[in-house]
Amino acid sequence: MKRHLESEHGMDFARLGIAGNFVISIGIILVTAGGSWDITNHILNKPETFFAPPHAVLYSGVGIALLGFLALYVGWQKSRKTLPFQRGIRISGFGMILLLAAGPADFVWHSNFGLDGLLSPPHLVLISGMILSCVGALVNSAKHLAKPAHLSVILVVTSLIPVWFSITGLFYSFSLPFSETDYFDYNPHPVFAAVFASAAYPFLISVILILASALGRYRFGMATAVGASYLGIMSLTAIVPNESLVATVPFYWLNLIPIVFGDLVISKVRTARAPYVAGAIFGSAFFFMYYPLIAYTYNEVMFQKVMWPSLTSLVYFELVPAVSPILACVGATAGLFGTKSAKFILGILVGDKKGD
Amino acid sequence: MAAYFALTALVVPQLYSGAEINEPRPRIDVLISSDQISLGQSFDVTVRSHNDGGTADMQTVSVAFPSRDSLEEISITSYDFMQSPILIEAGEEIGSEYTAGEVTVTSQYSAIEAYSRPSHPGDTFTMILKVTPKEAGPFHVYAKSVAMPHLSDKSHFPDSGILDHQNEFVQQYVVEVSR
Repeated sequence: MKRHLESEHGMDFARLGIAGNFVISIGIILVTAGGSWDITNHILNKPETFFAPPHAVLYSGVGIALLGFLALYVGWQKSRKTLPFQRGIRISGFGMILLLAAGPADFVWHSNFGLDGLLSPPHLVLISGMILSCVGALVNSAKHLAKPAHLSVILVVTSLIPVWFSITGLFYSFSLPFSETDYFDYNPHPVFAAVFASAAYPFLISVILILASALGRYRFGMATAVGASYLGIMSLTAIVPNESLVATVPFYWLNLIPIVFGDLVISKVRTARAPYVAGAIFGSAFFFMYYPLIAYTYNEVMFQKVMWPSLTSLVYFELVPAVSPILACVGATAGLFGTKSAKFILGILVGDKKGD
Repeated sequence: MAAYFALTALVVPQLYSGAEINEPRPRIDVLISSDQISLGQSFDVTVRSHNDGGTADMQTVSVAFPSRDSLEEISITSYDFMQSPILIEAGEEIGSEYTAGEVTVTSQYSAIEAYSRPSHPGDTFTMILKVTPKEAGPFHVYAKSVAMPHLSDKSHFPDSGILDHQNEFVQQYVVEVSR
């Protein structure tokens, strides 16, 4: 039977399922962008209510992702499960349950404990839901992208960006000193936070960009498109809202250089080592790609200054000569492990038949 | 990649580190509705904050009552600062010396701290307090404003005069309460 079945009403349910999967990723992009904006908003404005604009974006994203999941599930069921989306639907479905549970839990937490920190039980539920929802969508997208006729840079970008940002959200929770409130102190130990950030961020960058290139069949531009999208969202949600950082946007976009260079290496040099070289390049730039928030992590172990939003860039640029040479080396090493892991993950995403 | 690291690690940090900071300059206008009242009567303290300099990440306005341990005689009747006020009574740990909490002391008397995050140039915020003294005699009121980040003497108002329990300068007002 053909994959693209049509019902008696003329509806193409397979397409509905594929579109639904795409919409899940769009929804989670909104959730993660709202989350990044929310962190910046807390730094700048110290909001005291749950009903803040970043929360509106965040929970609109949850709603969109939920609609996407319903479309995916209905499309998959009605197309008589010919789409190879079973595993992805299970993962996304569990993520959706967590996302839906996180909203009321977050509201109750705010109501009882006022201003909340970055790391809190409802936020962990929310982040876990974000990660599972978009990983499920990525699993499905990888199956779709594996067909020769389905290569799409937009699908690669929309599948990987939410995964990148939602896992970044998890890593932020364990590396940024934003989790001390009147009621709880969940701040990570400064040394742990710095060590964790030094390993986790470059590893993640490498995994995502190597996967982008691999899912795009090593065509030049795939990793660049994902990397540029990341830089764009970070610029809009973490830099531009802070008026004192706006002048540093050109500096931040210098990070396109290692992304393009790594992309060139992996797409043009056809050797077994090329992906590792690219992964090391991607990882080596992590201290610059995670500007400006990473300044808070390393300030805790290097300077212990009181961080004000308008002084963030000054502290960061004071940190650069002190830590960036060693962090570039550490990041390159973590990038090598990221490449190894990306290859393993790629094997799971497209290499077996269990999800079919 | 060498060019990238040279730019990001050497050239750009020097460019941005030399950038000038437009320092915030807080100022307050304080109006006491009456300088003499009878016991049982009330007076109002109206404090309006201004920022005459660059954007402050936070501007606080503190109104303190050095002859009172608690705030039972004081109520807030009007308030348009961006964040909720902090109510301080004697014996609490509070920041001092304009360090935003890096150096702390124990409060010796009560105070109300209003604050806005951020405070842009030209922003004004107003707090009105109603005070109903329960004892006769002079009733002292201290008022000050501090901008963060605190970069110099321009970041606080007033910049001279009486030092309060936080080792910070304040303006003093007195209302005589007669029997």
